[in-house]
Amino acid sequence: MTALLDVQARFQDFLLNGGDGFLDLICDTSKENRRVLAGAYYDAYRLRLIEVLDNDFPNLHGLIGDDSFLELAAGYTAAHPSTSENARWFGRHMTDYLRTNEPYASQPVVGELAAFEWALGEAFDAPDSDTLVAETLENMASDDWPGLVFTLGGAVRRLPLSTNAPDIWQALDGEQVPPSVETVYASVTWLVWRRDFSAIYRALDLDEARALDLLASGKTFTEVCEGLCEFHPPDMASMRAAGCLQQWIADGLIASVAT
Amino acid sequence: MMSNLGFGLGLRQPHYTDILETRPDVGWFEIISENYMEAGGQPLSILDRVREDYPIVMHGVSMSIGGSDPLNEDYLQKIKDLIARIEPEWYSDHLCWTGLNGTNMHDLLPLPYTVEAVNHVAERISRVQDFIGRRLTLENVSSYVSYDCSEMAEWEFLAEVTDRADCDILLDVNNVYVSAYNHEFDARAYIDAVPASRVRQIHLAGHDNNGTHIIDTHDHPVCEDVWDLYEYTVGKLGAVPTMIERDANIPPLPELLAELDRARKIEAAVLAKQAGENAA
Repeated sequence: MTALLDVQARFQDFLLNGGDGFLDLICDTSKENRRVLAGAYYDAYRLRLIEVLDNDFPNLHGLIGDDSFLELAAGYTAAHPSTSENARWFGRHMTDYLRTNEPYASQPVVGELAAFEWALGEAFDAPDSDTLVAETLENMASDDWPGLVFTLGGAVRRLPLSTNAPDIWQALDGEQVPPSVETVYASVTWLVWRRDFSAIYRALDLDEARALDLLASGKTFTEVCEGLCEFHPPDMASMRAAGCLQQWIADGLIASVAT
Repeated sequence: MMSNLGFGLGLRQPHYTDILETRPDVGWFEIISENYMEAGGQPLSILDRVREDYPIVMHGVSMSIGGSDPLNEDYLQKIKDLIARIEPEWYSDHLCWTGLNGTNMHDLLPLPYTVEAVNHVAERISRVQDFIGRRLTLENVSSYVSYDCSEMAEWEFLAEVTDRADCDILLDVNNVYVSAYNHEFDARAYIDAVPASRVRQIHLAGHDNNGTHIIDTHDHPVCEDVWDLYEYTVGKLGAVPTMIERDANIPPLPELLAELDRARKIEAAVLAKQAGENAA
């Protein structure tokens, strides 16, 4: 191991785990000892990442409170050191962390609220993509319609949630008292996307969620219609599919169409 | 001949609306490169609109030019792509390392000032410059620890690395002050030793003085001692594009514009005094 690599390995180990292994490499000053000086980096590492998580999950913080959020941030930071060039993505494992670590694994609303909050953040600054306009579709030959496939915009997120986490998030975001936690019988798919530079969301009916799943997976318009036959008679299914498509285009969810 | 853009500010989210609505009298804006890589929506749209009216300088925090991991070509490609989109006056990062084994500590960690480190960093800078196709500008970082194994002073390290790699310097006057305080050296000796022809940009910022050591927080106004050191620096280097760097506890835009105006006046006074002396 080179001297430079040794310095860096021991410094990083100190930042992640503490201990004395790094202190042999650095100097006291006349005003301060080396442990305090190295500690400035140790503390800054943690404070910086807590701030990042707080910025990305302000309503998760509000839901569980200050002490629990600091404890969560410490546990998360130890479990998932950042591997991204941008701290913006440091919190991307938070939902999984909450779903697999107690005490939150047994409180699904916490993980779901984090997932919802993260999706809103992603939608806000996701890379720009094209937006399909209705005229493009209107100009397509009617023979092409059955085989049309669509691509969703890069800012669109779909979240199946089993609790009323979005309602709780909305109350916390508005600095209102959140409603009690409710668990729904069948999960509801929430749509999160961006319009006019703002992240927005709405709940999808079961049939619309199914249609959007099929469309997002690359199924043709005919296959989307067939999927809706699970919910509607065949003649109504086609009309419902066309209605959904019209709404998605108006919402700016669709990036492109291909035959 | 390097361009002199005058006085600039960091482009920060709390000021987006004010900047677009008032078009402040600022020569240029500096962006944190990572905030606009792989981004869309409002941040990138605002950058595009600001770019229509102001020169832009790109400033990165994650190149880890002194790191021991291989250079991250994916990251460098994103820098190159952003340069192609923004066409900045120059792009910069820090003379430091930021992590090992794929981990990013999101801090600007100091290097030991050794011949080995000079060789290592200079070779990596050359490869970055070849990949990007433009000169890299590197900033001196503030530091709280010094290594027992260092073989030279920080300013000697900076001069040697930038000479070997033929790159430019972003001289952070606050960082010189912070490191001088923490490691008990003469800040003016550092300024005297900086290769003047390589200094493309100056940063000014605030810090948090704990008595025994200073933490570089960028959350305070520039302090009087740093203004004094800036005046000394202008006397040594002449007019260099200068900006106030504020990253936390960000005040309303007019407060930063007032701080920037102080920098402007200091530079004007120093240059006028020098002109008077030369004429006499």
